[in-house]
Amino acid sequence: MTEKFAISVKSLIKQYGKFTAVDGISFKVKSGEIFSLLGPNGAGKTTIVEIIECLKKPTKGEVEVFGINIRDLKKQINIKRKIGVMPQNFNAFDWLTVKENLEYFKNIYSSNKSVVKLIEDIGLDGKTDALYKTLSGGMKQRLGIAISLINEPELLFLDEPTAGLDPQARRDTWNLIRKLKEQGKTIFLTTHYMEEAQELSDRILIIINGKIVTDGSPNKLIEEFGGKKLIILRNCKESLLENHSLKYEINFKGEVQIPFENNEHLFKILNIFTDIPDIEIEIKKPDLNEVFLNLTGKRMTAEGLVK
Amino acid sequence: MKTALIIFTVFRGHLKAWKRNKTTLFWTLAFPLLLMLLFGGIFALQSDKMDLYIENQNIVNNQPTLASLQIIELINITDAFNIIETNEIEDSDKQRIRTIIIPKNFEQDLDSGNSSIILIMDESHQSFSRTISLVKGIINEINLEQQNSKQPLTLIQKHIISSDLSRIEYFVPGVIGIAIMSTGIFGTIGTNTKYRKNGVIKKLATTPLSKFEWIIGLVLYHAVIGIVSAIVISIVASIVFGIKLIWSPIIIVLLIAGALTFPGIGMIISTVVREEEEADAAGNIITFPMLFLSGTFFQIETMPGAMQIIARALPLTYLNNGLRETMIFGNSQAALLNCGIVVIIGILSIAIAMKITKWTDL
Repeated sequence: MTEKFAISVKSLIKQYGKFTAVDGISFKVKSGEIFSLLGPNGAGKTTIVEIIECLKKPTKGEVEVFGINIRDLKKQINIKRKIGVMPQNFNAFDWLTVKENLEYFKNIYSSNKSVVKLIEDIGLDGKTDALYKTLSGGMKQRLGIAISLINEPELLFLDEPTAGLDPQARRDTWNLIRKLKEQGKTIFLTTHYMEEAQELSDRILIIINGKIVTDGSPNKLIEEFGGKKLIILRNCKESLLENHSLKYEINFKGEVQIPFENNEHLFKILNIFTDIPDIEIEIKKPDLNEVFLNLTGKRMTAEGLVK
Repeated sequence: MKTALIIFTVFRGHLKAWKRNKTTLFWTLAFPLLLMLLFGGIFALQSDKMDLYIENQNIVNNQPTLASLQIIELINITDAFNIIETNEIEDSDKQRIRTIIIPKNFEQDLDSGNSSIILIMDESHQSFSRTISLVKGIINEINLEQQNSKQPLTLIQKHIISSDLSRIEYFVPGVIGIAIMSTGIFGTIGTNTKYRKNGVIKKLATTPLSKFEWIIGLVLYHAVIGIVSAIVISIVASIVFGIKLIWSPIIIVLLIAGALTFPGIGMIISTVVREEEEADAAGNIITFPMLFLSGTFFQIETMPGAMQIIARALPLTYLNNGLRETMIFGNSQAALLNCGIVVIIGILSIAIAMKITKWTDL
């Protein structure tokens, strides 16, 4: 086998009393990829990540990180030295500055990484001496990523890295994550944002209630489970559609939705409407939201799953 | 070397946070100072009068002489003393801070102009100069009345070493004890619950930092702020109340032992009681008895028997005793005994804390 695996999880089970949070999950993460664990809140994502990070003990199953079994307590420190972690709801020391926080963790790892360079890389140059507690949410998240890079890890865990951020801060964080992939790092991402998983991931594992629903690249998942591509028409009278033997639906906004197979089919349909002036046309490709909806019959929102 | 650097990093992190946070500064410095100034002020108002033992030996036919009664009356008129008349000479009684002896032939000698009274007092006592000037004032008054005599009344001073404490002297080491206890227990509960809640502990747990390094860093930090608050309290006590404290290396050992004991207790509480508010309440349940029963406000010897038993079970009692023995009495031997007890309690509590604290479920 030529492929190197950073993480290998086999039949992982985690129970809290009678409650099974992770129910027999197996997967592997290749070196150099962005791997996303996607699922609603409470699906068991954080439990899985924290087991891999050596924070929680598995009830059953085997987990290896860089070939080291996480149950080997003496070797756990070797895993910890090689990974960078930004936990969910990350926080650093409130009363230390950006620079002091980074130096703190630098000392813990006895790392040689330049703190000044790292501050530049994440775009916090102007905030070097600002106390952590005075930073905005986006800055805190970026500092969190910087701290998790202080030991130059090969494998980076980002647990909900953009939760609660505004759209601009979220885009900035995504760009930072893409840059890290370019540097050759393996990134293990946990998210409940469809868009985030789709934008960033090489591979996605969808889990619900502690079980794997499916996995694959975003494109593969969309192709397989996303359903048909749609032409959406606004300001279109239903009478126009008659006599064309078209399959269509009208959604709750009053928009006409016409599914199509391929480009030829698309042009054929669009031809019908060339002479109608007021009509507004949109071509919509399915995304992960449709994948999720088709797989589970439910829509994933910030509040959880909704039918 | 690596471990030392890591421990130092943890220590410095706590110290910087302490310096920058007004709340923690209040609890370690301002609170004990306020406590001391407030109670010091109350004690000063209460103990306006000084106890004075008078030993009248000038008795004729079972009756004190007129002259001796006259001098007692003159002393009484000054309104500066609580006069306690005694019959027995007890120069071994160290509780007597100042005693005046009126000699057998006082009246007779006074008539012949060759009389004296004896003041027995610890010359190093803070009230010595005030006492002596009051007594000399009374003697001058008598001498003025006895102008016809050849020699006036004189004062003979005898020095004794007394162990009598003014209440404020008794109180100051206890204030240092309270500062160390409350910062140790509440500071640790606060840090642990805050860092657990906001995820700092979780982040630390993903790094190679060990539980041992984290806890030792925390203990070092408490030792240093304990020493800082002891110094500040001592300086203010000496400026405001004129108390001279004796410094010895035992104090440092006591403060370090305190830095093991109380953060250890704080860690145990915040591990057993996980909710922030409940942990605070548990901290109060532990500190409240110590506040009042460990001999900071009241002497343990004056408490009812059952209370004394409780007092002897509290670690702050031994820290307070140790600090008082060294700082006030300069009694190294008694201090060492108490110090030993605090060291043992300290090592035990930090060992238990280290055992039951888990990175993973923090």
